[in-house]
Amino acid sequence: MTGRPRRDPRAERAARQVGLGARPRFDLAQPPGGLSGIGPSGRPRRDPRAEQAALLVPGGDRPRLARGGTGGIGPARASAPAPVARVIRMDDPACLVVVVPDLPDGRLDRLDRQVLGAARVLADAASGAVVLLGGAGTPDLMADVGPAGADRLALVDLASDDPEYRAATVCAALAALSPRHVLFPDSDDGADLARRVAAHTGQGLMTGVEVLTARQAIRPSRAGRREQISAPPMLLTLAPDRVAPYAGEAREGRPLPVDAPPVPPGAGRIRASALRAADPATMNLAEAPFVVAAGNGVTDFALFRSVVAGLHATPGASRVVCDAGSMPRAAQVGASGTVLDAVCYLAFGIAGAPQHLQGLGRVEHVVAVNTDLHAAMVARAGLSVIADAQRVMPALRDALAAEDG
Amino acid sequence: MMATALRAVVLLSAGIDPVSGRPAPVGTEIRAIGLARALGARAIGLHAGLPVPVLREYAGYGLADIVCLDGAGADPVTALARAILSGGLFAEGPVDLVLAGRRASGGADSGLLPYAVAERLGWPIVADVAAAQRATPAGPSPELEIEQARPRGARRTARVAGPCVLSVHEVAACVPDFVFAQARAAVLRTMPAGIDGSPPLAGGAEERAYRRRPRLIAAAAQASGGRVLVDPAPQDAARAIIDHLRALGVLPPPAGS
Repeated sequence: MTGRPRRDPRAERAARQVGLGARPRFDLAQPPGGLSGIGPSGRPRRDPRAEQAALLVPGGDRPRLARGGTGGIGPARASAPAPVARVIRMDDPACLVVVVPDLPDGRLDRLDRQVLGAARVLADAASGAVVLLGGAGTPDLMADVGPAGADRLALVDLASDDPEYRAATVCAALAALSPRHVLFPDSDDGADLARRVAAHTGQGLMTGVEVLTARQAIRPSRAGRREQISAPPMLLTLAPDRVAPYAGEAREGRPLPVDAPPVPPGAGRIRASALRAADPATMNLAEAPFVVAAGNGVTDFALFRSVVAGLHATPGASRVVCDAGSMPRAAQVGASGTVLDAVCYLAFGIAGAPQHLQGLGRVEHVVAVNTDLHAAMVARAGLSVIADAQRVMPALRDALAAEDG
Repeated sequence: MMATALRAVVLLSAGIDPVSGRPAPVGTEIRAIGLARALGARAIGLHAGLPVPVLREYAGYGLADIVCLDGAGADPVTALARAILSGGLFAEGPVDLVLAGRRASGGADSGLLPYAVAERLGWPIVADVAAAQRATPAGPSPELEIEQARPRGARRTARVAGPCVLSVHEVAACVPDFVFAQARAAVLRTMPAGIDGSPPLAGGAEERAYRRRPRLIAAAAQASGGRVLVDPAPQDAARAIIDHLRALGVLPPPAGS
């Protein structure tokens, strides 16, 4: 006798039998010898498969295990309670940081949000409040500014088409608010306004700031070969894509009345008209917002041009097509052609060579029509149609023509 | 009545090439010279500083006469405004138009100087000029019709009555040809700026070599996992593409709606 408990494998197996069919079935996950979970050796039995299933993180194509934690992230975990929306109020700010956004179409754009994020950095360090100086008559703005990080919303009359009058209005509002910092976006309109305000008030202006913290601001100088570092000045313009937009909890965005003296209507020395969009058919490819390009999968270029005209887009092409002379060289997209700055790129019959994809630099949305499911362009695209471009283009042209009536 | 030729002053800076760091003319100021020529103006170059060799290159683009203001380093804005208002630049009369690049290349590069000069002169300034023409061909008071360059190829028309300051954008198409003989024959005149005092020391702003920093990556680059339609009917594919483009906002809604 060895002293170990004697096992009866047949009895253990019979205990695990489930169902009474023609073929015996056994549930091997069930602990032998009842539900105690203690094996015949006296040690607790582990179930590695169940443990792994408990560590499995839901979502994703490949199984991913959350090791090192307490486990239990798997499907068995109870869902987290929904976050309670909280609005941060700033009742007694130590100072004000004013943001003068561009507000194209009366809404905050990407750079405006980044400027608000930068203002948040400066205001949080001094426990100040961020004031957004917006144009009156922009009703969408109210709900938008709080989540973007503004504590106050001051509305002044910025609707004039005279840039001098707008600058005078901003100067009057700033004189009434006496902020510690004023931030402008370094876009064309924002930079123009900032420089007018700086020249009018005689304050120094730090333009195109690339790094902004509470203690220092850095901007390039001397043709971008040197950089200037100083404490954040009162007036500055922020270069695009340098400071992250505000991502914290929503701020209040409370309306702030500005008791500025009314600005006398200017002499009207400058009369600017409304913005006129460029003709997409002839505009420069590098600044076109929507480019439709033809590759080797396109053979009928008259059809391609009619589709491009129907989409109100700018025509582009791959190198192969330009080499063949089917499209002008100026339309070439890619490393040896033009690098795009478009919002959307629609590629007909382009597989997506690396040199071509380099030309898509900052393109946000790609749509691909290609016969090859495994083409690089299909991997880059937000919508891919795996079909012959020569068959899709007539359908697209007809659909657009039917809409226009 | 014949249209009198405008009298234009082009503000010139001693620029450097951003890549090599060697003295080079600034592209926007070359376009400013071209704009003066396109307007049929008589143009004089004005530089706040000593006559440096790079100014001859501007002359090659069509400036026969360049005036350098000696001793303007202490307060270039005052020196330039004084020279423009002094009446000593043109024998025929006062200055009608001041042209500048929208931003220098080689100094502080803040783009603030044209605005400061305009403020000092009390003249209106129109920035980012892509093209300009005279709105009133005949008449003593020049009124200009100006195309302002805006992002994505958009343009805005502005009318401004002279005298005024214009800052020229990089996309302006009026690039004059370079003529080597003109560059050699140019006269660089030096005038005293009438400013006493030494150049102000750079107060507060420390300077060091530029460090390239990564930009924020746009939320664009969706790794993969876009919608894929495998071998749809052409009509379905066209409808899917149109709906997708409408959702992105790049395609205007149909005319009927």
